Amino acid sequence: MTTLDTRSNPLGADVQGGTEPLWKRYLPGHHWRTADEEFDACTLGFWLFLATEVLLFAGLFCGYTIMRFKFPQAFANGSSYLDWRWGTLNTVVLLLSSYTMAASIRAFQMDRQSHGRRLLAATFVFGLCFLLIKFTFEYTPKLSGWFIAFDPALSHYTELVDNKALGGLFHHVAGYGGKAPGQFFSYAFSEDPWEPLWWSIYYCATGIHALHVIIGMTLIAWCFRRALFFKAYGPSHYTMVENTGLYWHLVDLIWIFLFPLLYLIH
Amino acid sequence: MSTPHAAAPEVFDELDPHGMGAYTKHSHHIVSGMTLKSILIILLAFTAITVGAAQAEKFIETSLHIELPRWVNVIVAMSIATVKASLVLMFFMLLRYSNPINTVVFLFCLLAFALFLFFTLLDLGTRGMINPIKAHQVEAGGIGGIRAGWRADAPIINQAPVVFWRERKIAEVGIDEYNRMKSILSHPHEGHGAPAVSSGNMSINRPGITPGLFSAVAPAAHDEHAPHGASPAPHGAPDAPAHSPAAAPASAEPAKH
Repeated sequence: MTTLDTRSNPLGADVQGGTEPLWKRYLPGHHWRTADEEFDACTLGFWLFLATEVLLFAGLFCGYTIMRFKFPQAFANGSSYLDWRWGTLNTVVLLLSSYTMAASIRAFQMDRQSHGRRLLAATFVFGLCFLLIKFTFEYTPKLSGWFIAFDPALSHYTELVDNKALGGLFHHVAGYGGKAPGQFFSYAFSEDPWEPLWWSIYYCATGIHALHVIIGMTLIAWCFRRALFFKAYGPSHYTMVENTGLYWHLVDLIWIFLFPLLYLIH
Repeated sequence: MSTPHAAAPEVFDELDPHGMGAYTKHSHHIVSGMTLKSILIILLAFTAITVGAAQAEKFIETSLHIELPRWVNVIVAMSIATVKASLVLMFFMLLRYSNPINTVVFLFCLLAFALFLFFTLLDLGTRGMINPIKAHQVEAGGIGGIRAGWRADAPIINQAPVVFWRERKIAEVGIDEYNRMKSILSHPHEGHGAPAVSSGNMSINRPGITPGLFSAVAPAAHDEHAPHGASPAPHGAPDAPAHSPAAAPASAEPAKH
């Protein structure tokens, strides 16, 4: 006699003494006629949430439009400080991660557990690469003037290196830093009075996007844990990994628009 | 499609008396691995194309010295991004295979975004535009098409009304009498002439009028203690209208009198 609701309780495995994977034991909520209905409702709810996410970024894109319309030269100048090669690399990294995410859902749909987990882990690692590239090669030098020693851009500024730290791992280029948003701006070699505005838009857009990458990575790590310990996802139940995938693809979708708008203007 | 019109269930189901289950039951679509790989390759190719297009535009402008219209850059980049986004939405986010209501939700959200952008651009894009019909009436500070007086047959002022009425009064009474009248009429008080106390408005940024902000030489020292009447651009001085009325509307200071 089992009256305990064990369908989503991982400990249920011990209670029932079974070794069935969680996805096989999963039953839809009692208020749903079928598991498909539950899946559809969850997915629809997640799409509604994604719509609000798009509208969050819509505000940013609208702000971008207004500022670029009014101060095109500041945006062209500001964009020229960014290296399109890092932007392209990050785009490729995110596209690859989107692929591994979609492939991981496919693997769970076909009950290929270890393959699905490997692809989830790959997605996580790609996300981490994206953040590392962003912070190491883009944010840090522009804000502070500190370059990591193997940054290829550093070779242009060897004459201006005035300080080194952590045993030569970081090099400081005099005058390079200070490209900060708004009132924190202190870069002395600007050519347009509105460049601080460009940096406000840049850090706001990429910063909120990076926050979404971090949230997406957290969800992926959580999915990985559930897949590893409980085999939570399989052919008949994979809602969480599906919705995590949707979130991750949205992050990719936003970057697809941010990349040309920030890196490829002139 | 995921909601096929199925025949009515043959066996009566108490929990589903209207047979609605037929509209929600569907097998979950598994996208083929080949499709996913192809989409990835297409996306990477489009990334290369958008970067290549931007480089080509830069090359045309810097090496060939052909100035492209400003919209080319945006239109090319956004078109490619839209194609990429559609591919991600259809195949990675499974909109092509999932319940169509999800697509409706997303498209509605895009509609809201489009409205948002449309009205913003409608305003921004037309700020510099002058309706050709009104062009002959447009003057700095002018309202356009107003008449000199209440009568319907009064001549249309093709000038800022401030300037029109000042010039008419000067022509009528002469500049000396005008100045005498003005000195009586516009004694300095709140809103006219030099402010007696500091105003919150003084802290508003006036970008573009700070002398020497972006010039190589240091800007002239600003004497904060000088009386307002002694500043280079006197506002509200009793003899203000003595300068050319024609130049008044073009001056950076808003017309006070």
